[in-house]
Amino acid sequence: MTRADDARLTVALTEASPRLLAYLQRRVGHDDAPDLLGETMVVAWRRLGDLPGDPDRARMWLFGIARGTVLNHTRGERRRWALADRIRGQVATDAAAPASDEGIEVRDAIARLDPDLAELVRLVHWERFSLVEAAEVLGIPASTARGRYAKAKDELRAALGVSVASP
Amino acid sequence: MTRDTLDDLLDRSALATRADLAAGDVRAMIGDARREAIPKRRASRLAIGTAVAALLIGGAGVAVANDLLWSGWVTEPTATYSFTVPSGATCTVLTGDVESSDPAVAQAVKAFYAGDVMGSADVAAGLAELRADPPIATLPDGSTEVLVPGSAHYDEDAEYKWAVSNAVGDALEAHLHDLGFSQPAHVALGEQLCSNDEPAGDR
Repeated sequence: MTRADDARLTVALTEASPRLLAYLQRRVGHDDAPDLLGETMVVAWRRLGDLPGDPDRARMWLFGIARGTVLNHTRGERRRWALADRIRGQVATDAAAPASDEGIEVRDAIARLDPDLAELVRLVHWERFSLVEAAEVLGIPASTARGRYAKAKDELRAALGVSVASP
Repeated sequence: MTRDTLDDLLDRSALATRADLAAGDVRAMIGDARREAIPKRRASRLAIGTAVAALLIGGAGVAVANDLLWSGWVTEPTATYSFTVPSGATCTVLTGDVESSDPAVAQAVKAFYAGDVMGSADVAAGLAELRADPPIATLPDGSTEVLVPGSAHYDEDAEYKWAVSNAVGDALEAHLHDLGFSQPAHVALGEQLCSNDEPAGDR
């Protein structure tokens, strides 16, 4: 580990934290998201030697770590991180704001997809990743992501009764 | 890829989030996470320790460290302290960017660095600690080497710098506990410049 690595991870975390927190809020809710952001940061420091040199790839790498914390969370592995206290209060206040119901039917349809397909759709449409970026977060080839994405959209069109017509 | 009605529906289905994080909170949280991830024994001297880690393997490591010294990494300097390494060169450490969730802790840390830092540091104990638990360098070919006197990449000056860093960290920790701070979490950065460092090129 060199100081250059140290500085690069600090910059990467600083820049990615707002999007990481938003991602985590959508996956686990406002209450637990700060803890998972804290865990993401701790894991990132522990794996500093794996930090990609390219800033965009470093961002994908961080989202991959965040996804791992989400998977652990859904398996019931939870830990309260004291370092998340800095933002917990602020987010708890924000959590009082009602979530939009506009997309509830669509969210339900996404949730009924195979989990791998659902996560790909969320990364592309909620986190605004390209398919190539989403593939990197998921650790799958881009070609596999393209195939899964097409399958997911076919299933969603059928579930939601949406035509292919352009808007 | 042609967008269609479904794309718009999917885009709009994202739950609203609030991620207006204060920059200071994020920065402090990143520092906290770093301290959590690094073994506790070295946590209080992390920033300086990482620079010295590069110095310890000598050769190319010195050049890497030099490129980064006085690079602006410390944006809010607090003070400097100096010491002499076994080769006779003088080293100066710039400290700063002190942060803590407890303003009293931050103030105490700044006061410590502004005082007689080397007078409070037990360097001999720092050296003994390093000899008992020597650092391990990862070499360019991926192999590792325990850095002890006689090993290929051992550097006596570098070892001494690391010992100073450890001793200063221990002295600061003791100082804060003496002041009554039971959990004196803080982050401080440091940069080190020595009179025998190689020129830093076009920096």
